[in-house]
Amino acid sequence: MKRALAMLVLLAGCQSATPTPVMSGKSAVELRAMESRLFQTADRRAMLRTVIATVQDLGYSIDKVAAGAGTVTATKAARLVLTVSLYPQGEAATVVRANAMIALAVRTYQVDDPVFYQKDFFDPLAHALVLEALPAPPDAAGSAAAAPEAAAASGPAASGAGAAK
Amino acid sequence: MRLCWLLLLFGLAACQEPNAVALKLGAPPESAVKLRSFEMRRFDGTAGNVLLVAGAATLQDLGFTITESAPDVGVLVASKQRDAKEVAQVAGQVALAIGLAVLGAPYSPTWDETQSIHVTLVISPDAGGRADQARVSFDRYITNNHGELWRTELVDDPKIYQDFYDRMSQAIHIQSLEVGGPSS
Repeated sequence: MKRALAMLVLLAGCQSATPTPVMSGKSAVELRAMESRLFQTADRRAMLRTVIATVQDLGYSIDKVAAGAGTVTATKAARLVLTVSLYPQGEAATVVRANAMIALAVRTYQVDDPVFYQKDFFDPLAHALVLEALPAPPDAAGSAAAAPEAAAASGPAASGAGAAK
Repeated sequence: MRLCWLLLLFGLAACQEPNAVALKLGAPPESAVKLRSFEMRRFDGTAGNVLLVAGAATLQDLGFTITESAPDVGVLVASKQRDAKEVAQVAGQVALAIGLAVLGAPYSPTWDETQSIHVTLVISPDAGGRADQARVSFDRYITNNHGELWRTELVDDPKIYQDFYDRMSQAIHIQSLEVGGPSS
């Protein structure tokens, strides 16, 4: 009986009955820190082009582009979906925020590993931009429902935060 | 009791960790430099919007349906469905199923049934800003005879890309003739 229960636990550990997305249990602050970077350029269109080129270089196929909103969604191997959004930060900088979902068995999981975002996206993007990817300030545009407020309030505070390492 | 806990640990370890899978899958392709060499073409003296129109015309000539278009950033996405069945693969799987059935081991034969080919075409100014360049990539999503998406692959045959760009160059030439002037 105990062995049968152990087998049931084994099976339950690897499968799920419902294909609902599994979101990260990490805090919003922690997720924002790993998913966002500040770049010292206000040319969002050029940045969006570079994001698209980087994503294509990484082997993704583009699904959706909303140039006006500054977002790109791309998929790799039909399993890894990456969404990248660009937000203005003050008058001279742009915040790039990326988040990824990975399909595993019947479920989709939010990727919450800072190494993934650094190695598999921001390093190649910074290399393509020939700009340094700086940590985004805590109140950066791109945090939930804060884009207009952050853009209006940033100014000198954001410039100072963006220049710091 | 110890055996049960060991079995539990091994079982959980055998389940893949999503972040680890994402890190491996999201890494740049090993042949990135080689892929770039035949995925990209530079077009001197041809404006980006002309390239985009020619690219769309070429994709439509090849039977693709445009599914996404963002001319502001030079992006076109298209796809088409095609049969992926290969007689040799089907015959091999059926023979295997029969052989295993004779030995008393049930086996459900599986083969490629249909494929969805996805294309991403991006037109952008080159690094020097003197010309526009096109980069196209083809991906195959293959569904098996059980209706499952079971394989994806990036097309890495240089001939396919060469053929695409040859057709695109012809489309640019036809466009310039229709307009009645230089393609700019």
